[in-house]
Amino acid sequence: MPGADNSHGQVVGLLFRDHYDWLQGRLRRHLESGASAEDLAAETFVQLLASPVLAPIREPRALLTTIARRLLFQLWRRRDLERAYLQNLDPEAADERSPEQIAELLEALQRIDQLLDGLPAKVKATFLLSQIDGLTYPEIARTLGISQRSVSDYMARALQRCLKASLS
Amino acid sequence: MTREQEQTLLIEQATRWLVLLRSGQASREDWQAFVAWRERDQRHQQLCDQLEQTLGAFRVAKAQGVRGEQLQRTLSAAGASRRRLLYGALVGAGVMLCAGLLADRQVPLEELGADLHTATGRRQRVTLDDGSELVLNARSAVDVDFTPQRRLVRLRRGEIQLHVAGDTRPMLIASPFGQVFSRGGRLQLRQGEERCTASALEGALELATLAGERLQLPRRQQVSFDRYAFALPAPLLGGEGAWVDGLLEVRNQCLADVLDALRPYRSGVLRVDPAVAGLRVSGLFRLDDSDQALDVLARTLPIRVARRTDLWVSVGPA
Repeated sequence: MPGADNSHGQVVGLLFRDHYDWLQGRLRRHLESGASAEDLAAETFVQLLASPVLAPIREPRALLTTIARRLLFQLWRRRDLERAYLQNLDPEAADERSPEQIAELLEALQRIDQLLDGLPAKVKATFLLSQIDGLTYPEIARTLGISQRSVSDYMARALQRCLKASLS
Repeated sequence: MTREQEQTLLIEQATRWLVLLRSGQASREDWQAFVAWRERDQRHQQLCDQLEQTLGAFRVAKAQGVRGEQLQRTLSAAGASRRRLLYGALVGAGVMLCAGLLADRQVPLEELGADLHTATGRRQRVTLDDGSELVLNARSAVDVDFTPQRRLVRLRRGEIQLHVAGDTRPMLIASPFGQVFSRGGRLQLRQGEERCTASALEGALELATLAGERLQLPRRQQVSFDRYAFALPAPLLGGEGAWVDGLLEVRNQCLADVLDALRPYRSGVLRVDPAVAGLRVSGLFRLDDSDQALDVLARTLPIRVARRTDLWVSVGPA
């Protein structure tokens, strides 16, 4: 229904006018630099605009805060990964990677992190040794000190996760 | 079979194939059988293609020479700091969903020198004539006294947040316990029965007790003081200024402090039993609905909130 989309756009436009500065101010208290508070506030409205209209927005600030909070978690998550990257991966190849490569790698890390999120550490380790290093199951079993049977089970769990993510 | 059951079956079949093929022990016949399976059905082919796409992220890491063990270490280091973060943040997230925020009234101040005061449950935002922004918490009162030489705000009761506009004149905030001096930035001052608490939200502060003891308070720190001396300054926790938006943000503070913050939003008596006064609380509460805040506390802590009448509420052990 194009008519509904249009009016949703108008509503979000009005909300933007009334609440953007407020939201940005709130976010600024959680972030170090003003620039990213601006980005995050803007992104919040973009998401609101893209989200389906379920009901009239009664408490816009509560809704905006909820969306912004989710974005903030994602941002923090990305920062955690960047920090972990610098500590664990960077020192060994710091001079060899271009800024583009680092950006590409960080993005890949983020996707991998999302994909494997919530799986036990042993499952992740097993899958990464297979997927990245190309080890066979007997080799993985030796490296991690687990049975080959466990390697198969762990692989099944991780692969199932990847297949599900591919379908959705 | 429903579409969902179909998909589950498809994923199971594909998983069995992939687990076998990656073992390093798959025979030539196994591979041929897999290719036949893939070509038998368009959905099989499609799933395999989509999986290749999903696994593209691993190829990027591999191409850059990252080893599996390094990647594992990186992910788990990020996970550890995330868990710490979530532990702290999620306590309040559930409450946040129902926390509607009320816009404050914006009142231009026309008469300087007039007493400003707020009633129970009301906040007020005022722009002073030098451009400074003053917010009064509920049940608070100030005098504003500006001369060509100095800017003076006298806190008589309650709590204020002041965004000090740049000006050649110094800004002095006076309380019965001492004075706060600011050259700009954002500060907060809360006056209790026996002491005051000053917070340097943005910019440093200079303080003096009534007895003349002095202290430089760096930005992002807070300190409480009585007429004579200062307590030890402590870093801000982050939620100190949330009341301006009608929120009470609490991080591991004691129940008595939380109830103190709710009190200006309630008429009548809110009594707390010493047996539970020291319980630690984290969360985000809506000041404008203090009854809801009490309900949330009662659900999350081993306490009982007894409402004898609307005007007499006591909080005790469950």
